[in-house]
Formats: sequence, C-alpha cells, structure tokens
Amino acid sequence: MIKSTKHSAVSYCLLPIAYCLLFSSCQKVIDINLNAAAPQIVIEASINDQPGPYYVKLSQTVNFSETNIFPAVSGALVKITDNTGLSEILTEDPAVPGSYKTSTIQGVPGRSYTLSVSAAGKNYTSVSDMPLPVNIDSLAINTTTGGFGGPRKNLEAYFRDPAGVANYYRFGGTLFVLSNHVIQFSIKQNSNPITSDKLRDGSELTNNFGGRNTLISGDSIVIALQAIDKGAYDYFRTLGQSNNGITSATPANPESNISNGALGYFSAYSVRSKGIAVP
Amino acid sequence: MKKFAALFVFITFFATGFAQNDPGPKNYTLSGYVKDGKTGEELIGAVVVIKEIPATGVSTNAYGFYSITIPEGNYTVSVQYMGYEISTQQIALKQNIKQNIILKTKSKQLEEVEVSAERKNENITSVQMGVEKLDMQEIKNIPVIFGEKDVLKTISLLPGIKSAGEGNSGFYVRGGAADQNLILLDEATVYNASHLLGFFSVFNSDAIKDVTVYKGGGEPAEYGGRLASVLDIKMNDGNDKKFAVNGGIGLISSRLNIEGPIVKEKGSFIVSARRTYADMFLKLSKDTTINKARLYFYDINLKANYRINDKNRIYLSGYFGQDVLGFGTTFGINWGNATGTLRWNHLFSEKLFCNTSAIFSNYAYQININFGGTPINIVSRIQDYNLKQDYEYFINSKNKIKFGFNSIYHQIIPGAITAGSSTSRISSLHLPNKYGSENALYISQELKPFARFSFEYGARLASFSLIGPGDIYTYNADGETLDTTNYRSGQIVKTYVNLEPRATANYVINEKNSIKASYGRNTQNLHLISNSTSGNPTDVWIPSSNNVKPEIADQVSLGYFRNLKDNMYEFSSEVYYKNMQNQVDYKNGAQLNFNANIESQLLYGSGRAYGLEVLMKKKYGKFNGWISYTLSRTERLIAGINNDKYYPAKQDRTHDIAIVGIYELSPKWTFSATWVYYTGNAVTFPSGKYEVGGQVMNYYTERNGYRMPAYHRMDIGATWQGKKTERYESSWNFSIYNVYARENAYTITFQTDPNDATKTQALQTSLFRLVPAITYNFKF
Repeated sequence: MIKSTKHSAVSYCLLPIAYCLLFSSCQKVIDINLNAAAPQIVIEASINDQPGPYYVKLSQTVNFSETNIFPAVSGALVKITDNTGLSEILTEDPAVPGSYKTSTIQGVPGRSYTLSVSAAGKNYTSVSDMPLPVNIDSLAINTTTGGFGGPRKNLEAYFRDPAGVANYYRFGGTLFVLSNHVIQFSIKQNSNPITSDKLRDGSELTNNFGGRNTLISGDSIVIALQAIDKGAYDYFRTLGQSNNGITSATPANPESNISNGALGYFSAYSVRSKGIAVP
Repeated sequence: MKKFAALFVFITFFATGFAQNDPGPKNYTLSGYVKDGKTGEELIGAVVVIKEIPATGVSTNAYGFYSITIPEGNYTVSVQYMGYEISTQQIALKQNIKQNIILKTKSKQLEEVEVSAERKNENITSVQMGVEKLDMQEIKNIPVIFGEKDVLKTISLLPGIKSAGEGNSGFYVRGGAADQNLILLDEATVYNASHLLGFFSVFNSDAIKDVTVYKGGGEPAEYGGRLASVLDIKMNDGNDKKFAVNGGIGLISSRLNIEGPIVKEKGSFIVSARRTYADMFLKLSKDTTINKARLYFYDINLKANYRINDKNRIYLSGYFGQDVLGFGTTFGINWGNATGTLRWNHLFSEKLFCNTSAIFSNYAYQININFGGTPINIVSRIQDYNLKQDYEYFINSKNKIKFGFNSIYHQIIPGAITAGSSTSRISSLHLPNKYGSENALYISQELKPFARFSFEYGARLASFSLIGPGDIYTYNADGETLDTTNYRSGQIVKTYVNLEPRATANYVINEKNSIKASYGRNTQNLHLISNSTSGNPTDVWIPSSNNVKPEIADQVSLGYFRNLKDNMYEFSSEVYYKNMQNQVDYKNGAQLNFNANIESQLLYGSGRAYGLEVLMKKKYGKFNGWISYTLSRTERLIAGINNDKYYPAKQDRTHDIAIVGIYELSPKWTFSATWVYYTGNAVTFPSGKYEVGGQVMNYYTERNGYRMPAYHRMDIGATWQGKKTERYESSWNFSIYNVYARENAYTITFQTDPNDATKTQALQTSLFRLVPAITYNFKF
C-alpha cells in the first residue's frame, strides 16, 4: 500500500489517484482457495528445417497451491510423421524423464507434419505445416528519443513478406554481452514477439524489439525469424493475451493446436537468423 | 409483416378506445405548467389532484405540463411535489382553463410540523413499477468520493441497480451488462458516462433537474434501444426570474453554474462547468514521470429556452466533456462525449402536447503515441443523428395516449491508425466504418377504468438496418472468413424488425397497499465490445449485422408496495425474471483490438436473470434514509464457453445491500452515512498451473467459476450550512470515503512468489483506502 509521510489531506487525496491510476501500486498478497483440477497433459513439441534432434516434452498440470514441480509423463509413444510418409518414433531420454528426442528425421519446408502422442491410454494428435523460410533482410539499432527514462537503443528487424500467402512469424534471439555490462535485454521463449502479415501482405515488415529492452554499446545480438503456421500462431497469440486478468476480455488457456484437450502446442517452422553488434 | 399487422391491430384498438370516450356531461380541460416559485423551473412529475373526484390524479410530463379533463364544476385543485409546499386552490371550471401553478420550496420549520395526512402516496397509486427517481435535493447530502456529488454513484444505492465497482462508473441493472443501459441526457444518448477512468460520472449535478431510472420490462414505450434499463437525465432549464451564480471549490475539482433570464419569465439560460486539477498537484512532484503527467477532465452543460407564445416553446441544450490523460509527448489519450438537443414543444390543444427533437450525439477517443520517434495517432468515434417526435394526448383524467416515432442514423468509426511520417515503417490502418439506421414507432395508453385499478400498455415497433458501404464477412464456426460481399453506399445489408410489447398494471388494495405487475420486451442493436474486465474508454460499439443478431430481453415482474405510519415509511418489494436472447460473449483468447474481423471473435447464446428487490425508506423527519437489498442471479448459456453449461455472468451478484442515513442535527449541521456490501463479481481464476518453455502458466478450467472477495465500504459526510441571506449562501461539505479503510479488491492477479520461485501467489490490487474531501459551496 501507499506509504505517505505527509498526512495532509491534499497528499492523502492525490497520492492514491496518482499512484493507483498511473501505477496501480496498492498491492498485497492474499490467500485464495482455488479448486483442485484433474491433471491434464501438457505437450511442447516442435520441428524445424535445421538439423535435429528435435524434442517433445510431456508433463502434467498441478494444483495451483502446489510447488512448481510438474510431473513428467514417461513411457509414452511419441511419433512424428510427414505428408510424404516419412516417420519416426521418438525415444525418451533416460536422464530427462518426459523428454522425447528424434534421431534421424529433419524438417523440410513445405511439408506437413503430424505429431501423435499416446500416454496413459489417451491419444493426442496435431498437424502443423512447415512454411517456407523467410530471410531477415537487415537489422538496425535505432535510438529512440523521448519516452520513459530518456533515449534508448532499440533493435529493429526488417524482412520482406512473401506475397500471395498468409504468413505468421515468431522471433527468437540470443544476446551476447560484453563483460561488466548488466544484462537488461532478454528474449524469453514464451514472450517472443509474434506478428502476422494479415494486413500487409507482400510488403516489407518491421519488427521493433523496443520498449522492454535496453541495449548497450558492445552487445551483440542474434535474431532468429521463425516462419510458423496458423495453428502455432494462434497458440502464441492467445498465450500472450490469456494470462492477464486486466487487459484480456476473459482469461483462458491459450488455444492449443493439439487434440483431446491437451495443453501446449506443436509447431513445425522454418528459421533464418541474423546478427548485429550494438554500435 | 406480421409485426406491422399486430401494430395495426393496436392502433385500431386505440381508435375504438377514443370512440367509447364520448363525453356525456359537458367536460372542460384544466391545463398548464407546474413551476418552482423561485427559479421558474418547470417541475417534472408533480402530482395534480382534484379533491372532489377521488382517484383523479395526473402527473406533469417531462416539460412540467399537465392537462386534466373533467366535468364542469367547482373544484379544489391540489398540487404536490417532493420538497415543496402543497399548493391548493379553488377553481370554477366553466370553460377550458389555462392555469400555471407555482410551488414554494418547503422550509425546514414547515417540514417538522407537516400534517401527516398531506404526505403523498404516489408510489402506491402510480401505475409504473421498476422505476427509481432520484431526489436532487437528497443527492447533496449523500457522501461520495472526492466530495463530488454524483448521480450515477447515488443510483447504485437503489435496489436492482449495482455499481460496476470502484474505478468504473458503469452500472448493472437487473443482471444486465453495463452496455445494456440507455443513458440519456436531454434525450441524447451518452455512450460513455465516465470521467477519469470511472471515478466520476459525466453528469454535473448542478446542471441536472431530474433523474429517473427504468429497470427494464414494462417501461413506457417511448423508450427503446437497450436491454436492461433507461437512465433518463434532464438538465435544468435555468432561472427565468433573476441571474444566479453558484458553485463549489473542492480539493481536486471546482465547478461553476450561471443562470438567468434571457427575457424575464419567457426565456432563460444556464451554463454549468467543471474541471478537475489533480494534475496541477502532480506537477509538484520531483519524479519526472509523474510531473509530466496530464490527468484531468472538464465538462460544460449549456441550455437555453424561449417561450415564443402559449403554444410554442423551444429549447437548445448541449453537453461537452473531455478527459485528458498523458505523459509528456510520449503518450496521450483524450476522450469525451458531445451532445446537442434542439427541441420544440407545441400544444395543438389543451389536450394534445407534442415535442419534436433533433438530437446529435458523439463519443470519440484519440490516442497519440510517440513510438520510437514516429508519432502515431489513433481515433475512434460513434456518432448519432436522431429525429424524434412524441405526442401526449390527455383524453380525460382516466385516459391518456402517447405515441410517436424515433429515427436515428448511426455512424461508427471503430478505429483508424495514422502513422505520422511517410517514411515510417509502421503502417496506417483504417478499420471500415459502420453505418446503421434505427427506426421506431410506438403507441401506448394509460387507463384508469376503476378507482383502484390502472394499467398502461403499448408497443414499440423497432427496426434496425445495417447500411453500406463496406465489406461484409460471413464466418464459419472457427471464425474463418467464408465469404466477403461488398455493399455500395446506402445499400442495406441486413434489416431486423422487432415488436416490443409493454404492459404494466396496478391494483390499489387500499391507500396503504398496492400490487403491480409488468411485462415488457426490449431489443438492442448496438453492442459494446470491451477488451478488459473493467471497461475502458477504448471499448468499441458494434452494430447488429448479418453475424450479430439483435439482443432481445423479455422481463416479467411483480411488486408489492406498502406505506406505513401515514406515508412516513415506504416499503416496496419486486421480483423479476428476465430471459435474454442473442447475448454476446467472447471466444477464449479473443482478439478484439483493431480487428476488422471482430465479429469472428464473438460467441452468441442466451441468458437469464432473476431476483428479489426490497426497499425500505423513511422519507420524512430529521432522520431519513433507506435500506435497499437485492438478491439475484444472472447466468449465460453460450455454446463454446464453459463446456456449453450455464455460467455466471460477470455482473452476477448474489447479495447487494445499501444503507443510507441522513440526519439533520440542526439547521446548520447535517450528517450522513452510507454503507454498501455486495458479493464479489464472478471471475475466472486458475485452478491449476503448468509449465511451457520454462514459464509457469495458469491452467483455467471454467469461465467465471470464482468470485472476487465481497466488497464493503462505509462513507460519512457532514454539511455545515453558513449564514443564509437573500443574496448569499454558502456551505462546507466534509466527507470521508471508505472510512474504515477496507482494502477492496480491484483486481487479483497470479504470479510467481518473488521470494520462492517454486511457489505461486495471488496478488490483490486495491484502489482506495480512506479518502477525505472538503468542498466549499456558494450561491448568490
């Protein structure tokens, strides 16, 4: 809650407005009794056009009050098949229960991939099409003026959207930092910016990584542009909207592209990368 | 066509009604206006009673006009209005008489010695039910946040009307959503009634004469267009006798009201303005983010009227308000309403009153963002042009007919994004505009066939057409576009016609008891799509279309009204059941922002709401106030949500209690207190969690399966009346909002425990603990 040292009526009236309206800061941790939920399978699976192995991770939900230990689903039958008839049964890593790995298959852009999982007597399937790769034309570091906290360096990626088809993208990245710098820049997997060409088919697209990141001269970055299909896009899009009670219409689980009520996603994507050093 | 046939049957029936009312003995009409003696303001809903003819009573209409037709004779005419002295006069009715009646404001002393027999029991005798009327005198004394008296906050203390919560001036009526209320300011629709993200309403109490809420079902047929309720607010006309100035200076806002005659007793004007200045204090902050912040609103109410002659009078009224919020040049959002109403009252005869209105209404928001050096501008707007004509035919004291039409042209600009510079890599985007035409015809009749029985019935024939130009999409169940059709400008895409029958009846058991029943159908063709749980200035209105069907509600209600101790206490209890069709909800993970295919993100289904409302009110004496209680349930059934089972709507609240007490200690001091309690809103909370990509995610199992914590709060207030002279009076108002500093939950979010990454915790955000306020009010 707000701590006000000046207890004049004025500050009492104004600080709450200013702080609450602008910064929502009257917060406290509370106890809430949440219902127990029957465990549900969580599938995280992807395949791309770079050499494997690719991994499929199977785990389970736990009740909200429990600690964050998510039981692995072991002993499942996990298979990836493509539309040319090529298929492989994945093997579980004995060292990492619930993690299943390919050994021979490699993704080919333009093909359609089917994931099937059999675990505890239930079958789950998902189909994902691997789009053709899209190159990053260039990366640039721009300095923003104005805004909170003064000028800052922003990364922008430029690429040409292929015309005539619907394209969906997801960005991944790695930051290499020079010694002695504080790392403030991070791209997490689940918070990857995603974009689609819905309204700008065939044009040059820009992705601005500004806002949450601060770059320092000497940093170097590699950005990966994933071309994903609509099912995967819908998953990541709804993922970004689902978990916040204030800004989303109604919180809900992200839209999974896997059948039979499984949580998670299966994404077949092609990927291209580019690097830049921060001047 | 069936519907037109039904309306024809109605009209024929009315016509037969006329024929049967051929007068036997010679009848004459007494008509005129009822006015406030000091300001000349016409009084709405004043009751005119002829003492010699029992159960004869008429109310003044929205313009203060009354007309009563009775046989020739000598009569005692008595006129009463809450807060005014009763006027009684002898009238020899040998011809049609025009008689304006002047009422004097009741003095405090008189109120104490008031003869109990003269207290009125209008709640028992009036045919309408499901209606709440605010006494503007009473509002002054009820404590509210920041000391700014507010009609929207006050009506939520009445049964069946629930505040949407702190930081939200939306309200819910009988299980309806916030967008299902028709909010009218001098007949113009107000699309967003909140200032400062909901902490204030757009209605400046200084400028308001009358506030009436109809809680749906059986409301008069002249109203239509929303499912749940009508909040009809009428502005003051202005003092037509002398210039007067009043105002108030508060800690975060001030207001000023100027009124006076244009031509004495023929025409008057009123100008009322407010501004908050919270941001001026923000400038004192050393924090560069806070001191660059802009956060204020202002609004202006204007009205002028002129009586051309006995039969014609014109009114021009307008409202303009704007909210401004921003930080330096980085970000800014402005939003506000503008309305304008031009009215012409015309008396065809002593018995036939007509009003014609041309109305304009506009709600718009604008966002400016400096995005990495590129200025981006977003605008959105909804605009109405509305022509309306209403007739009231006062056939005799037992028979009144109302009819009229209403024609509205809607223009909606859902959103246009303009990127400032041509070199910008951020693309401009213009969502297609939407155009709609809404037309309605209505007729209703109020009859008192027996002394103890009265009823009002009628029908409204409402049509809505979505009009081109534009691309109209059809979607499959997955929300994918199946087909796109391009419509030319003016071409009709889709028309819906609905007949809305309404009826209400009152049986007066005796002077102290009555039973009322009502049925009504309402339809709604504009739907608010809100991307948040609390309501934002950026919420979008969408019209009915080939995909979105008109919402329909049928409501039945039954009420028992009883007065106790010579009308000192009023008790009422109503039960209602409402069935709703074509309700709109969102798909899980719906994408609502700047989506041209917004209709593909919606799901449709039905809803039901039922409840019990109880009100116990002490109207007179040094100590007065009320207790209001509502027990209710509101549920929805929508395919694709909650495994196709009924789930509670967000606004479902089991219990809602409000207690209001006002105590006049002395002529100088008045104290007041309110206490509210309600069940928390239905919300979706996670029941479990899981991990994807190294992040812990919430696992949701059901829609709205949980409740926010119960809300309760007490406010207290005191008013000190300074020296009162003919020329100057002043008062100080002190109030404390949330006096026992209850931390009510505004939102609850879930996050990883910062001290233990293996645990997850629930974090509650509350807005206000204790908020004191002081306001100085003056009048000269």
